[in-house]
Amino acid sequence: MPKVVSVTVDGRILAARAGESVLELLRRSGIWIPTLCFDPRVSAYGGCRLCLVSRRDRAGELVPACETPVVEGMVLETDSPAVHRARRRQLVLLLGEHRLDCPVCPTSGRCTLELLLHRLGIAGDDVRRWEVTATSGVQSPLIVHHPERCVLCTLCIRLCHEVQGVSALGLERVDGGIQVATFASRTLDCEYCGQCVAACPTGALQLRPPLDPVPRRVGTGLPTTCSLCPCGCQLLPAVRDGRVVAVESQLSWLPNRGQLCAKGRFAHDVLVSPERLTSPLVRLEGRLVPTSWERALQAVVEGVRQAQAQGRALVAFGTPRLTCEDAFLLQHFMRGTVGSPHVGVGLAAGARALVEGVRPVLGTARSTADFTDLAAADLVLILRADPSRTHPLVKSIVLAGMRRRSQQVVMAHALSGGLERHVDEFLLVRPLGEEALLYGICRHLLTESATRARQAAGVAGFDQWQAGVLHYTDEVVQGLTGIDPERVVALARRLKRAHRLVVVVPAGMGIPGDEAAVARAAAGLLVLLGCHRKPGGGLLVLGEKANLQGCLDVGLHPRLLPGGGSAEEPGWEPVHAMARAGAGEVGFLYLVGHDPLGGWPRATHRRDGLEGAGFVVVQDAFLTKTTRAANVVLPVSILAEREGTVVGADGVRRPLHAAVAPPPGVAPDGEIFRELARRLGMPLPSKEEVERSLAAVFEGHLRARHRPPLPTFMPPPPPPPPRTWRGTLLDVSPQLLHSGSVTRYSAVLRELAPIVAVRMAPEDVAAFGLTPGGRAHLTTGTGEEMMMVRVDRTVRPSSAVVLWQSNAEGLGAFLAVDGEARLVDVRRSR
Amino acid sequence: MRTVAIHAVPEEQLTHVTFDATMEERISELLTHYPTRRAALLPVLWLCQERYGWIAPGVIEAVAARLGESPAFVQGVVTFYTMFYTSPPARYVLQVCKTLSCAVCGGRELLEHLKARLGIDLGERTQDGTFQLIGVQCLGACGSAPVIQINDDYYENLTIEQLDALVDELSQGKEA
Ligand code: SF4
Ligand code: SF4
Ligand code: SF4
Ligand code: FES
Ligand code: FES
Repeated sequence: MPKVVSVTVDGRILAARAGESVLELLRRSGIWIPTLCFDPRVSAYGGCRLCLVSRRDRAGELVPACETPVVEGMVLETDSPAVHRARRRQLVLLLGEHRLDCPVCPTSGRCTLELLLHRLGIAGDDVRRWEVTATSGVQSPLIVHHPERCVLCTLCIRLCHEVQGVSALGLERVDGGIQVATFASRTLDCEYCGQCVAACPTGALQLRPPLDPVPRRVGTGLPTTCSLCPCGCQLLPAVRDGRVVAVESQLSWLPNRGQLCAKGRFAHDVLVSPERLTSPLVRLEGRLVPTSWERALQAVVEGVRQAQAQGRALVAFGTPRLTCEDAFLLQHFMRGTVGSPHVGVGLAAGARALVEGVRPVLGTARSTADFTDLAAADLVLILRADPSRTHPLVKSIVLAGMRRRSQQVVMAHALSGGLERHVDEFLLVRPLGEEALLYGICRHLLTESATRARQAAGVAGFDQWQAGVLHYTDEVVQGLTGIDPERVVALARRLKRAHRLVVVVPAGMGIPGDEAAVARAAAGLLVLLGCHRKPGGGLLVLGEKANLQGCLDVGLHPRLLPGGGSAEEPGWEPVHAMARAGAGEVGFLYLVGHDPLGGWPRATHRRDGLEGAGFVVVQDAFLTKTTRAANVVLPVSILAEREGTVVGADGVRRPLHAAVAPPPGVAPDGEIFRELARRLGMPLPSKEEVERSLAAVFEGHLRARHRPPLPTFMPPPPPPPPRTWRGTLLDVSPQLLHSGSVTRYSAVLRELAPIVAVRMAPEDVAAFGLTPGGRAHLTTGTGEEMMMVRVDRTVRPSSAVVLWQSNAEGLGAFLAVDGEARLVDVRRSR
Repeated sequence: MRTVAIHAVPEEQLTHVTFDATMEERISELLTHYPTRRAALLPVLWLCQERYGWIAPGVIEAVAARLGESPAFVQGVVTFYTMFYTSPPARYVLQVCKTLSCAVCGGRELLEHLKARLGIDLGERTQDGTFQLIGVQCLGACGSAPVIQINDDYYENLTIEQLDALVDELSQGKEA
């Protein structure tokens, strides 16, 4: 088939791409035609018939542009009286079943249907209306549904299915006809992304007040980057009276193309949370009391000086949510002003995968695949966990790839999740088995293809690596993964056939296994296949927090310098630092956005460390559990109040533009570092100097993409003895609706998110004698908790899923810092 | 000819449906005939209706889980086709053809007779759960009008007397 076909449109000859639809061609050529049921993110539906055009080469036949592929020699008319008449008739028909109450409809003014009425010149009396009465629609804490305003374009359904992969909505025949509905009229229980509402071209779906107040000011200001996960979504806060009242996104904004998750769309209410700190606090006679910035900063300075005078260590952990600029300043403050190497991102999922997994093999502590590569890959291998639970955009990208049939997706892990039902192959690997699976695959590739082995032999460290890999025999791999050798061979062949392979390694507290070991093994596999750095190929590590990548890039890590070099004198890793603090060796502990008592596993020495540290400073927007142990608490600005840049999991640096001012009494992180440094007599570099340093860092990364460092094979560990699992696997992770810290203070999300519960498969609930809605007692080796029982068909048998919400402290007891998988004992409690 | 009675499994027994080995085997076999799992949805639903007598919400969930679809989507398909029962049907579903050929050849009278004899209207079922009366569109057997379909069987060229005999037989629990 030729790549270009020529099509005549309104007398003009246009070059169309073979395979595209007439509508795509028209849009690209700047020709407007009305559409109601079309959205480029989902498959065409052909339901509204407003996009009719006439085919002169076929006696004027009217065809829907969205569903008609271009063909050579087509002659189209988009603007003739016949076409206009047909479209108008069609719209009038649609209106017959639509309650036309624009004057009282909250969507009026931004309603596509209303707009089309005006553009097509249809007046109220053109419409012969059936009696349209309000019927009850979808029930939800998020959405108000008015079926009588629905035109059955199914955009909501297609978005929920094809983009979100949730498929909470469908069509149902009811007495009055067909309408949008949930299964069995149940209350909507979904990801609450709000995509369905944003896409609805009518007032049929609306956000429940006050989630989307009108009137409001939109479209002013610059879009900013969401700080709630590393997907890097672009969003525009709508501001009224100096407050963010809603958040929007647009189809043309990358990487998210108008999509947002519940966090990005609704968590902005934390900005005005009554729980926010608005003044610094200092400890006086055992109690935290409000104080002035002057006094608070002075107290911190004295804390630093005292630790220095005592010869005790000074340690700082900055959350990977800090902007690049602030992260750079923090490491500069510690290394330069204070003179301590102990600075880093603290306990942050993904950091070890990048620094100890990717860096030794591929030369930089960065993922080598970005979202463009992910979209272009012909095979995606996802290990360890389901990204739909943590990285909504990654999920949408692979869903789109599968729908285009240009991509196959294979998942291998032990946990439960929603993406599994969509993928081409799912391997239920035993907990901690991913590393062995990868080496098992490598062994097959090496033994099956001498050429491949020869090619790889040129890579540094090959001999030792190969020797290690050969220990992962079929028997060993089966003992560790529970996967039949034939399936491993089949997977190896599938990977070998792929031209563009992306391996995705999600990292998160609560995912069993060693993230660094899996990342290292995956990097080795990619090098062996020659896919580690090619377009459409590479390794994608998904950390938990928005700017993990940026923080590592600018040297907020005990072993890394800005730009990726190794620190001459490496500082302490977080758990080690806490242990030293517990032993009384730390005189000053600076926790920027970290809440060890709230969110870190118990085994991190968090309690002893905080008790043993001489002086503790907590810098956060809220009073956290850890503030209990603080000598000084400094309140900071967050989300839409921040300026700077962040780097997503895809390695792209994106700007933050403040939409509102922080509340009085609250300061940006970077300003605080500057003030402290000034008081300590060693000011930090100016804004311009910081930007110059950062520009150099990121230019370096850009260059590395074109002239990448040479890879090195890292020898695999000797295989551990086979593991058997009998019992219930504990699967702990944050809820999709929560990032584990800031979002906990969002009243909207708290209402949407189910309370902390243990979710189990129906058969397990029955087998354990539990009652849905009743309570269960959960015990692991390290802790116990009581929680509500919920039946969940997506949870796999023999596992118990606990998604944490606000009391992360209790769940911290369940988290394993060593990556060990946990078995849990679940009993009914009365 | 023997018309097999429908045995609708009560809803309480269909809240958490797990397919037994026979069902599983038949579903797996069906799947081999289609390029995608979604394409096998209709035959799998037929299989379920045959097995459980109707498509309960719990059956929708089980089918959705088996085919990797969502319950909301499967529900849309089930409710689109009137031939899937979304509530437990009677043992015998009398489907009277209401289209032209049958109507002029005595179908209307058959329908009126049934209504009077069973004391129910279209769409209703008798109290003992034996009969249910529905009107349907052309059954494609106009040449032998009037036609009534009972469960899966056609009864053609029916007179009122024949119909009465049939109803007697069925209500005595004999399978005709
Ligand atoms: S809010 Fe999102 S997940 Fe929920 S129904 Fe709408 S599109 Fe689906
Ligand atoms: S609710 Fe809105 S988006 Fe959904 S089908 Fe109706 S008009 Fe379309
Ligand atoms: S939390 Fe992540 S996925 Fe959600 S809107 Fe923000 S960046 Fe996007
Ligand atoms: S946009 Fe083409 S039919 Fe609706
Ligand atoms: S009209 Fe009754 S079968 Fe055709």
